[in-house]
Amino acid sequence: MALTRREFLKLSGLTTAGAFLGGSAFLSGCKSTPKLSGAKESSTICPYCGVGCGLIVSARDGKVINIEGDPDHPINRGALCAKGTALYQVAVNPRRLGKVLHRKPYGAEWEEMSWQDAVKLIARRVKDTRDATFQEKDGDTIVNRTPGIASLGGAALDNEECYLLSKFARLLGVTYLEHQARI
Amino acid sequence: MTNHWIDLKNADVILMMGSNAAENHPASFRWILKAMEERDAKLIVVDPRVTKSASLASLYAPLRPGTDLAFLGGIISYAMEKNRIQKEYVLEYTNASYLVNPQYGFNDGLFSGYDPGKRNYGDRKSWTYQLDANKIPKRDKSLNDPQCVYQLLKKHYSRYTPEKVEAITGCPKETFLKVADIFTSTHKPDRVATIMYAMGITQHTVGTQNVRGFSILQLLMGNMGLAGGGINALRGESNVQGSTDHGLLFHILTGYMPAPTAKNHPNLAAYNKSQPQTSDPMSINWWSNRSKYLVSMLKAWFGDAATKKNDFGYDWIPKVSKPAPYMVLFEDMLKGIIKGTFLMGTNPIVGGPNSNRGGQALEKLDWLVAVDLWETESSIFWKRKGANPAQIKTEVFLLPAASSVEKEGSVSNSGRWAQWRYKAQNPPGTAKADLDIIDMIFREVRSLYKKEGGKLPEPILKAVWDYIHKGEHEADPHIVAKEINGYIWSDKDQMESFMDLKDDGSTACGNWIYCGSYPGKNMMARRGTGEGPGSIGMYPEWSWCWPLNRRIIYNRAAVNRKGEPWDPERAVVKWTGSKWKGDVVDGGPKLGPDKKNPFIMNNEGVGRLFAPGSALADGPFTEHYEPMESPTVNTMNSQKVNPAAQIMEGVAGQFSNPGQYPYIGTSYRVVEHWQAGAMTRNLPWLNECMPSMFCEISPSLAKAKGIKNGDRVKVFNGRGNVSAYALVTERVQPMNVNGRAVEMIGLIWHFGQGGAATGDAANLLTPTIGDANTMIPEYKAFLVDIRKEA
Amino acid sequence: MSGKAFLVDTTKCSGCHACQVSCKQWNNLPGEKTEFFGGPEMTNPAQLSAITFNHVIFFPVDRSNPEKPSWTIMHKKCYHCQNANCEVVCPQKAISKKDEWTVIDQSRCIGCGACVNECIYKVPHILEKDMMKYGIEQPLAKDKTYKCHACTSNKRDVPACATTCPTGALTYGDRVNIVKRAVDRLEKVKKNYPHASIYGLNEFGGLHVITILKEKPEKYGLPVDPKPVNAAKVQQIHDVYGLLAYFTLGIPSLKRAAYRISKNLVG
Repeated sequence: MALTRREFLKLSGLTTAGAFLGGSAFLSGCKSTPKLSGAKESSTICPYCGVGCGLIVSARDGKVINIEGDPDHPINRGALCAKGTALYQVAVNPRRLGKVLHRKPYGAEWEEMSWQDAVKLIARRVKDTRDATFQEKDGDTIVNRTPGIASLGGAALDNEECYLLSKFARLLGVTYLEHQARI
Repeated sequence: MTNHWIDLKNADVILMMGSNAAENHPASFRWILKAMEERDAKLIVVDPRVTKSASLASLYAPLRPGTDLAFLGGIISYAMEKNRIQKEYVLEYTNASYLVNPQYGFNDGLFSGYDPGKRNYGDRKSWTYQLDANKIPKRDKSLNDPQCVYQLLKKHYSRYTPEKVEAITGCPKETFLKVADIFTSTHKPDRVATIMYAMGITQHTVGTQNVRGFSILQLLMGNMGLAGGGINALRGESNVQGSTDHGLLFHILTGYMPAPTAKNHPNLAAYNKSQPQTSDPMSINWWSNRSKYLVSMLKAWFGDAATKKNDFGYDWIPKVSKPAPYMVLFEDMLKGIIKGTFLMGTNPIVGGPNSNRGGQALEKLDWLVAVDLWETESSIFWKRKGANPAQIKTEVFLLPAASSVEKEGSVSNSGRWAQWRYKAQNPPGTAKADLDIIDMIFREVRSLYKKEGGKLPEPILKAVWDYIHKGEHEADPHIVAKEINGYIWSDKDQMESFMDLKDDGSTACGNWIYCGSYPGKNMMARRGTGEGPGSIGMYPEWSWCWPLNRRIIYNRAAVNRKGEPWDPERAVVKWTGSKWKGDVVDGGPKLGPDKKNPFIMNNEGVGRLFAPGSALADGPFTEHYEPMESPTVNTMNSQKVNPAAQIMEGVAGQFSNPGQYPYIGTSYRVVEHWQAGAMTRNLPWLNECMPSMFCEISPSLAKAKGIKNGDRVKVFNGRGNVSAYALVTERVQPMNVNGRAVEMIGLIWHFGQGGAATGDAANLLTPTIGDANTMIPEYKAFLVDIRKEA
Repeated sequence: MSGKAFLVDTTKCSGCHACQVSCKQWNNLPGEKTEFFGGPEMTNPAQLSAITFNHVIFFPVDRSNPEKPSWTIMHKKCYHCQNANCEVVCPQKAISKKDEWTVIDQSRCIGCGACVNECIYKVPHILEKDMMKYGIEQPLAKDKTYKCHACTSNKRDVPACATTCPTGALTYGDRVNIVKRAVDRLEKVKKNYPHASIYGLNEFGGLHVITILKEKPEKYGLPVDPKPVNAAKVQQIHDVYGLLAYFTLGIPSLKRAAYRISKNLVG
C-alpha cells in the first residue's frame, strides 16, 4: 500500500518536524490536488481565540497559497471556524502595513520613514523620557522605576516576544505594563 | 483552564456561564457535542440571551447581566440544603473542617474589617483560621463546630433561596431548580461537571468573586482535578495565556511571581520572606520555592552581573507603589504622568472602556509607538471623529509587524499547551517580527546609554541580551525560548525541570513554569498523536503544556487518600502505593496522597471554600451586589455595589442612573470578528458575513420605541453615542427583576472607525469601573437608552 | 443510490460560517460587499450567488419551550439532485454529472438563465461582472453561471466545507452511509424535536445533500415532494432556445440576450 507522506511521517516518528517541502500529502484532503502540488507546507496555530487550533499553511515561491485546518491536530482535527478559515486573507491582504509610518506632532497625515530613522528616534524618546521621569526612591525604598513610559499589549504576540517584552519593559523600569487580559 | 479543550468530552455536566463558546470558541463544541452524544452529558447554558451556545444546550436558563452571584449562591445553598456534596472530598481536600477566627463576621453585605472611608477591607486579620500550638489550622472533622468553614458556608448561603434567585436574576424558579438539580448531580464521585466561563463572568465589579463562586461549587462537588471537571477560563486571544504567563501585567513577574512592591518587598530578603509559609506537614506549599524562581529569573536577566552581593540585581527591576491596572494607567495618562507608550498589537480605543476618555488620554502623550499589522483606531486616534490633528501634540510611530505565518515562535492556548508555529512567507514590505522590533529598540537604547550615560544605566547595560546569531540580522526565537526554559549558568546546559532551579545564582531561568519546554529539544514543536494514559484525550506528546507537561492541574485531587481514582473509568492519575501513574502528577512524584494535600499552590494545601487572609479584596465568601449601573436595588443587603470596588476620582460623577438611562447595556462578540476588529474587519470574507455594527433588542422594546428590525438606532448614555443597526429578535427578552420587567440592549464591541468595515465602538458607552480585585472593567452590565435614528 | 453525499445536521450547527468562508478560501472566491443582514437574524449575504456557493441561513428562534429554545441555523448549497432540473433544461449541455455531482462547465455556459429559472432551490447564479483575480483554473467571468461543484473542479478528498465544519454539523461520506446515519440520528433528535425530519432522501430522485431538520421541511422553505420539470416543458425550452440560437447565428452574446428576453415564453 502506498503511504501518503503524512502517514509516512507519522509512522516514522518524524513528528517534531513542522515544515516540509514539496508534495501535498501532509493534508489528508488534498493528496492529489493540483492547487497544492509542489507547495511547501508548514504547520501553524490559529492567531485568533485561545483554543489553539492547528492549521497547515501551503506556500509556493515564498507566497502563501492556501491555509486550512491541520487534520492531525488533536483539538480541531482539520476543522476551523470562519476566522481560522479566513487566515489566508491575513497573509495575503493589500491593507497590511509594509512601511514604517510616522506622524509628526500636530501633523495631519502619515509620512513614510526608514526603519533606521524610526528606531533611532524611538530609542531617543525612550531614553529621554526614562531619564526625565525616573524615580530612584519612594521614601527610603529603592523603587527604580520609569512612570513616564507605558506598554500595552501582548496577547497577540508569541511567547518569546511576550517574554522579551516583559524583560524589555522591566529593564527600562516600566511599571505601567498591561495587556489584554484586563480588558 | 485547569483542564483542557479535549477534556470537555469527559464531562457529565457542562455548565457554561458567562461564555458563548459556540460563538467565540467554536472548536470547543466538537468536544461538548461528543460528550452529549456519547455520555449523554447535559449542557447547561446560563446567559442573558439565547445565544448560539444556548441553542445547542440541553437546558437554557436566562439571567440578568450582573447577577451571577445570586444564581451561583442559590446553587451552593441548594447543594448544602440537600446535602448534595462529595463528602469525602470536601472533608479531605477542602477547608470545610477548618475553624475560622471568631472575630470573623458578616453583616448586611459587609464582611468584618471594612473601612467605609477608604472603601476597602484594610483589616483582613479576622479572615483567618484558628491555629493550634504548632501553627497548624484547627479542624473539626465532624463539621459541627459553628466556627468551621462548613457551618459558616451553610449559614452564609442559606439566604440565597430559589425565590431570591428568581427575584434578583429574573430566571424562573423552576428553571433555576432544574439547573441546580442537574449540576449538583455531580456530587457523586463518579459524576463530573465542568465549568466553562469567559468575560461574561469576569467583566463585572464582582468578577473575581464570580469565579470564586465556581470554585466553591466545584470543590463541594469534588470536581477539581478530575477528567471532565475543573474550572475552565476560555481565553479570547491566541496568546493571552502566554502573555499572562510571561508577566505582561503590572502586578506579576514571569510565572505568576508577584511584581515587587515598595511596601511589601523593599529588598530581596523581604520579597523572599513574603512567600507563602506553612507549618502543616501535609502541605506541599509550592510557593515556598518562589525564591529559586525569582533568583533564576534575575540570573537569566542579569547574568554575571547578578551576584549574591547585589541581591542578584533585585534592585534593578522596578517596584510599584500603587496598583496600576489598565483603567488606572489610562487615568494617569490623562493626567499627563505617562509621556510615552508602546502599543504592541493592541487597540485600546476600541477595546478599552469609555473610549472617548481613552482618546483624550492618548492626546496627552508626547509619543506613541504602535506595532501592528494594520492601521488601528488607536494608531490613528489623532484622526478620529471630533479630533483636530492640529491641536494634538503626540508624535506617532506605526511600525509594520509580521503576522503569525510570517515568523517563528510559540503560543499558549487556554489549556496551557505551548504550541510552536513556523514561518511560511516573508512579511509584506519591510514589516518585521515583534521580536526583532523589541530587540532593535532595546539595542539602540542600550547604545545610547553606553554613549551618554543616564539614570540607572546598570539594568540596561548589564542585561543578558544577545539574541542574534553571528552573521545574522534578526533575533532568533529559539535563543529566547531556551532562555525562558532555563539553563545551568556555568555550562549553559538546558534544564529539564523547575525542580532543579536554585536560589544561589547557579541556575538561570526566564520563566520557571516554562522550564522543560526546551530542554535541548523543542518540546513545543512535538506532533505526537497518541491519546496517552486512560484514553481521556490528554495527548501528552502533542506540543508541551506547563507545568512539566501536566495536562490537568490539581490532579492529586483526582484520587482519594488511598490513591484510587474517584472514577476509575476516567482516571487521570493513580497511586500504586509506591508511584504515580497517568498524567504528570502535581507536587512532585515521590509522596503519595496519604502524605500530601492536593491543592499545592495554597499554603494550607486544600481547596478554599473560605478564602482566608488577603487572598481577595472583597470577602472570603461571595455576596451579591448590583452592578455599578443597575436598573434596580440590591435586595440581598444594603450595599448597592461591591463595597470594595474602587471608584476613581476622575469618573466618580459619570455613572448613569436608571431614571435617565433605563435599559441594561451589555457587550459581547460574534464569531466572524475578533476582539477590537483589526484582524477581522480588514478581511473581505469575514466582512461579508458580518459587515456592520449592530445591537440586539427584544420585540417588546422595539415596539415601545417604534423600532423595526434593520432600522438605524442610536444607543446612548452620558459617556457616548453609538449608532447601530437594530436586530430585533426573540432571543432577547425583558427580564422580570424584583417584580418589574427590565429591557436589555446587547452590543457587539468589535467595531471602530478604522479598517475596511467601520462602525461605532460599543465601548463609547462602557463605564470606568472595575472588579475589586483585578479592575477589569464592568463591560457586561451598564445603563443606556435607545432611540430610532431620524 | 451510489456515490457520495453531504449530511447537514441542523441540530449540531452553531452558525459559525466556516463552511461559507472555507469554500471561498479553497475555490478562490471574493467576499461579497454586504450591509447589515441579508435575511433573518445573522443571515448574510441574503442568498447564494455566483460567488457564494455555501450559505448559512438563520431562522427566527422559537421560544415556545423557554428552557430549550429552538434556533435553526441551516447550511445551504447546491443539493446536487440526482435528476437535476438544471441539467435537463440547459440548452448548451453545459451542466452534467461528474460522478454524482451536478457541475457546470463554464466554457459551454452562455449565461442564458434556463437553469436559474428551473432550480427550485435558487442555487445557480449568473455572474454579473468579470472578476479576473478570482477562480481556480479559469478566472470568474461575466455572464457565466456558477454554483457549488462539490470541490470537483478543484479536487480534494473531502470538500473544503465539510473538512472545516467544527461541530460535525456538515459531514461527507458514501451516500448509503450518510442516509443510514441520518435515519439513526433522526431517532435521537426526535426526543428533543418531535417533528424532526430528514430532507433529501427522495426529492428529485434523491439529493446528494441530506438535511436533518428540527421541524418539517416546509418550515424552512424546503418544498416537499417537488415535481421535476416535465418533459414537455423541457422540450419547449430546448425548441425555443434552438430556434433563437438559429436566428442569432449562434453568437453567444446575441443568444444570451435573446434567451433572456424569451424567458417569459417558456417560464
